[in-house]
Amino acid sequence: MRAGKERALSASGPAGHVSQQHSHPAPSPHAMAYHSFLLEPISCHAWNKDRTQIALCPNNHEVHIYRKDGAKWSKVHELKEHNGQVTGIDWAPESNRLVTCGTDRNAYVWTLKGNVWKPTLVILRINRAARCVKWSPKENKFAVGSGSRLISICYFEQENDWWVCKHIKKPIRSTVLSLDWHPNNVLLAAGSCDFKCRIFSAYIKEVEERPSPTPWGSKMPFGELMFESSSSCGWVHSICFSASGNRVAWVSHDSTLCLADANKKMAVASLCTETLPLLAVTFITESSLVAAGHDCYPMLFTYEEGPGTLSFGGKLDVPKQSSQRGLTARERFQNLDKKASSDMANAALDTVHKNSISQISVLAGGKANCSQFCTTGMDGGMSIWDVKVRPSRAPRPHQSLVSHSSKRNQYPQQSSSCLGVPQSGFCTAPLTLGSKAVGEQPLSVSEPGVGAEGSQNQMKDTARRSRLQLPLPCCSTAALPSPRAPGCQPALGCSNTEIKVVFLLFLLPS
Amino acid sequence: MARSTLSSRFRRLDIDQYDENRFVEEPEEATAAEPDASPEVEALLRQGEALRALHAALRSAPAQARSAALKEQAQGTMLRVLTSFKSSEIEQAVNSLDRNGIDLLMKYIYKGFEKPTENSSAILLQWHEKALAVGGLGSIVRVLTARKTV
Repeated sequence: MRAGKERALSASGPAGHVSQQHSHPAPSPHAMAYHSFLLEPISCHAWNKDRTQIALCPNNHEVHIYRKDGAKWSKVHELKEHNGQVTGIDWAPESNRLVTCGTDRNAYVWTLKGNVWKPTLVILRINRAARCVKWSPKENKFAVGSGSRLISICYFEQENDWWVCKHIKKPIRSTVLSLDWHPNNVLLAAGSCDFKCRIFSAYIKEVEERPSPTPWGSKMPFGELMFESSSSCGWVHSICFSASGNRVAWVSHDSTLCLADANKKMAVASLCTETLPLLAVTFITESSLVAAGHDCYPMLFTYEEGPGTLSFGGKLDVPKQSSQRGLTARERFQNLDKKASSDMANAALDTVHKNSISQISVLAGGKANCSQFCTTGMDGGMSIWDVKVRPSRAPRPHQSLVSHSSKRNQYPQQSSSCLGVPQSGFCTAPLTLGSKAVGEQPLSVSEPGVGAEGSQNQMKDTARRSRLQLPLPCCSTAALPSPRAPGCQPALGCSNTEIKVVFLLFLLPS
Repeated sequence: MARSTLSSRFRRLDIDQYDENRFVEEPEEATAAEPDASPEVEALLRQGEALRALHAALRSAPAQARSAALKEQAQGTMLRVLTSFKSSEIEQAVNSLDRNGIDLLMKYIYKGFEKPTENSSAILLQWHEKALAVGGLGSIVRVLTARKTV
């Protein structure tokens, strides 16, 4: 197992090299890197509460749990109970229970007893595969979407000591692909293959109190349809509530991203993207989203509340390698001969993930102020991305930005230190990728074959490309935590400050 | 012998129509018959105003209409408009369209590919290249996933 993993690491080429080089031995549990777990797709994954363990399905009937051991990931558990591929995993942070669902039409709730995970079968009463599963925020129930065109809401019945489920059927007309719970533990958003996104009430009177009214509606009996989108023309792959629950966003197979805002009478803003279809979306603040899909890189979208529009904020995976290496004459003729083109773009993907990204999970900061998120994909790899929100002092657009530090505990003061970055467009501070790894070497030195000038150009290039601007979400400031940097104006009612989100990716040149 | 001598009429039966869980499209409200804009488009073409003809043809695209004849006619008109452009003007025309226009144009381009005439494919390929540069792969995905075809 260990040997296999090392083979996988070295076989993945530069990415594997990268992960070995700057894996982070510091006490913080995150690895600022791309880690290749498998050579097959990761079907689904879930993190535990303190982000030291990840449970994932390696494209078979099992669930493997890996724990971070310093710089490496080691497999600590194998959960073998399903008879079909495991299609959904969710890890309840507070109660430390796992729920898994699979194509064998079953779901299991796993509890840790001693050092062993013990499964409990949940009868879902479905006759097609289960596709997705999510714990509710209070972890007293979970929802399973399936190909039987219904959602099973399961809760634990104390008297009989077993899990019972209730079905939401109408008016779903095709497979339910994705689910997300509203923070009030009652409303559930479901995206399905009948091209619609819907919000249902999953109120179970046995386990909870009657919910108070929300902008989505006030009467919420079980199974009530609170919102249904008009048909877009694609299967809804992923759906996400914002942190406050007043907005829901979904991505569908016709390369569109849509957002419904309950505060605007459920008006739907949609954006037709120029990329391949997106497969996963999550909110990172109340007005910005990160989505990823078949294009193998995450991208940022922002929602402007005033006009009610969505806009593309930029590609987040900007490789640091300069593509200005220049071809030799020989390579140029070879290209002309082999590919009948003389352009310099090579056919290899220069993104971190080498295949579609299928799932995004927020690691730190919650959906209101995400500071870190994780992507897994069909290339068997997992990548962790940092988000830095940098309030600007003056309401004028900055030239560019830049990076960073990998130390998580610098966030509270990082904004002020980042503001010290010169406007000239590149960071003079050395890029620290790991506490001991590359801390001493500024990028310009470690990049072979490119002089200081080259690295400057490249920094400007990437800095320019990675400039991202977020509008300050004025109206939803209740949900937005106040910026941590000193000297920043309070968020309420002030539209002068801008918030920029800085995304990092470290790809050491090979 | 393995050869069946019984009737094979059952093979012509479509059993999917009897499936109770069949996905049926929601019934569309019949929109009023779209005013046929092809005379206007033809007039613009004769005058040499290819760009305005393109905009007019896109505006009157019968996306909602059900009748195949109307769609055929619109497709023919569109093809005439597209072929009347000079190669150098294509890029400017594409840049003048908004996002929905690009998507609609892509749909017509692919519809035109389905029934190639003598030199239609060449000009359509040029249109395709320019439209792709503006609309990206997303516009092609929307052609493939569209449920209302032109």
